[in-house]
Amino acid sequence: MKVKKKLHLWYTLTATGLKTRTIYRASAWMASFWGMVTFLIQILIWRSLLGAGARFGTTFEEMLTYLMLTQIIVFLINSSAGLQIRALVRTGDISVYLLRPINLKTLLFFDDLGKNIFQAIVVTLPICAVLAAYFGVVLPQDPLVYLYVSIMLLNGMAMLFLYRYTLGLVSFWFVENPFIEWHFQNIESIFSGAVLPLWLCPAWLAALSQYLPFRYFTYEPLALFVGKSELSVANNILIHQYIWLAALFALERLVSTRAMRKLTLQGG
Amino acid sequence: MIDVKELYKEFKVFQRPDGVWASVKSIFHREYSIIKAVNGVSFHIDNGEIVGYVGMNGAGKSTTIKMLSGILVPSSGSLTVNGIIPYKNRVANAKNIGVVFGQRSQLYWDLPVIDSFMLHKRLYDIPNDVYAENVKHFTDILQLGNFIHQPVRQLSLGQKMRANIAISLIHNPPVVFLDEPTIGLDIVAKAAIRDFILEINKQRGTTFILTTHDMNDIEHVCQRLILIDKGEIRYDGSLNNFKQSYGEKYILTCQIKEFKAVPQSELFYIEEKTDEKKILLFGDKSKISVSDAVNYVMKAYEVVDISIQESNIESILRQIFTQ
Ligand SMILES: Nc1ncnc2c1ncn2[C@@H]1O[C@H](COP(=O)(O)OP(=O)(O)OP(=O)(O)O)[C@@H](O)[C@H]1O
Ligand SMILES: [Mg+2]
Repeated sequence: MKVKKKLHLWYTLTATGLKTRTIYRASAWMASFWGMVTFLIQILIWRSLLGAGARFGTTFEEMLTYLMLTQIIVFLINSSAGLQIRALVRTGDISVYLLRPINLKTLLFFDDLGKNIFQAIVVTLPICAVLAAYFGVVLPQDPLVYLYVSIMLLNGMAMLFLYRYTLGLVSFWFVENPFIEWHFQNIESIFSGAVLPLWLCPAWLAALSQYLPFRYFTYEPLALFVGKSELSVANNILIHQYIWLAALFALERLVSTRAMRKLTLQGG
Repeated sequence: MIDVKELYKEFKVFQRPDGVWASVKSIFHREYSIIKAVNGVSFHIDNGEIVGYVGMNGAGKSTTIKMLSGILVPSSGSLTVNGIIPYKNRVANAKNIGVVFGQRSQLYWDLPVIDSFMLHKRLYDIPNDVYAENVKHFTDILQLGNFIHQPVRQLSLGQKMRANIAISLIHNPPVVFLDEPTIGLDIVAKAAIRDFILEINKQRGTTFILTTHDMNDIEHVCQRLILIDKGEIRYDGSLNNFKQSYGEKYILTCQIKEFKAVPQSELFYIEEKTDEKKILLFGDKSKISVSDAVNYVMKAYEVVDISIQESNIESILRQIFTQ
């Protein structure tokens, strides 16, 4: 009974997040359009770089699959929790969120989920359907790959959310100075392979990324999917993900308990 | 029910320097000052009381309410609401309270009012029958019917406020904090909200703490008054006692035919406005009754017109704060 109620609440929160997005259908379509344009430009650059054959150890088809999946996945497991907390703290509207009898983390997580589902349906899927139909993609044969990739992506989503959420809590300390988190966001996008797949990055950068959590968000599952890493290392990656998850969770607990003491609510 | 002892809240405020060079310097070294928003406040509130929490701008009212709501951690002191320490147990406390911040809305901006109600039904786990009854009841007395299916961003200030008050009570909380629930509302809307508070209090024995700058709200709704000034409590007691302990003052304004030399008395004070042919008599019921004072001026002058202005909370407060 209790579980059922919880699920019902989570469902309502997700639906609410999704509904608030549907208001902005028009802007979602515009985002879809521009997403398509920038994506197309990226694809064309790669095509001219890679030509017909493989270079830098990558074929155009692999690259295309990677880019396309990044698009889908990044939107699917995206989290605006950090940005949202920062905005709420600055305006003082965080007080309204904290009045509700629920963990701020849970509230924002399902809000993200609702947004992501909407984003995936309205923006990402149409883009990819069109592009896949035109260029064609390579898909893995082994069903085990799909299983591993799904688990890794779920883990990646939890990691990404925890990371962004914790970063958002940091704004409780820096109401007057939002740039601290901005640096962290940039570090994240470089080391997560969102800017450039890590297999193409300079060796030192790739080596450094081994010691950071970011590559386990989306890069590792995608690399497995497009065949840039082997199933033999998949378990190893999962272990890394769980270690990082535990670490991020511990960090979040640590920051959370201190954050409330630090919070000074803005405005009357 | 609500217990507050020696409650303090200090804010560290950084000084924003003027000028470019000073701004650059402030990156490395910043001056700050401490604001004592709530400075040793204590009070006890029983079940079913309606308490007016009153003071000037910046007195510390909202800061106190935020601490009682569990969203702001006190610098020191102790407080419990329904036996729960709000800041240590925010979620448990939130289930027991309803809060309205007149300056903010709890409703989802883009969604119809009813959607926010539904979300609260799930959040507070409100049984179906209670929910249905409350929605119907609140819709009736607060007249939400016309706009309950409209997105919140389209609503007027008064409509939004009524919806916010309704949502804060939809889970039948035993304690409700209303921080300026009548701000910016017209007289009809204010009256509706006052009646609503009284009715809910009578029906359910709900405890209310109400802050407002409209003393009519206080006179209509509250039995008890807590007066806060610069973070400290200046008065805590019944509304009637408040009026009495600050003297039952009144002013007689008399239009007269002509001035005469009238001796001042120790019982009252007379101000003469020669060019307007008026006198103002400042009296105090503990020294001389209104009828005696009227008799006195009627004898002393040839009075054309007379009006009596009795003191109310507002005039008393003005006296206290302009001293
Ligand atoms: N987040 C904050 N940071 C710094 N100072 C604050 C903060 N919040 C409140 N203060 C200060 O604390 C004092 C009390 O503020 P509070 O909002 O409690 O006043 P109030 O009694 O509600 O006033 P009003 O009638 O104007 O709403 C004010 O001097 C205010 O400047
Ligand atoms: Mg206030």
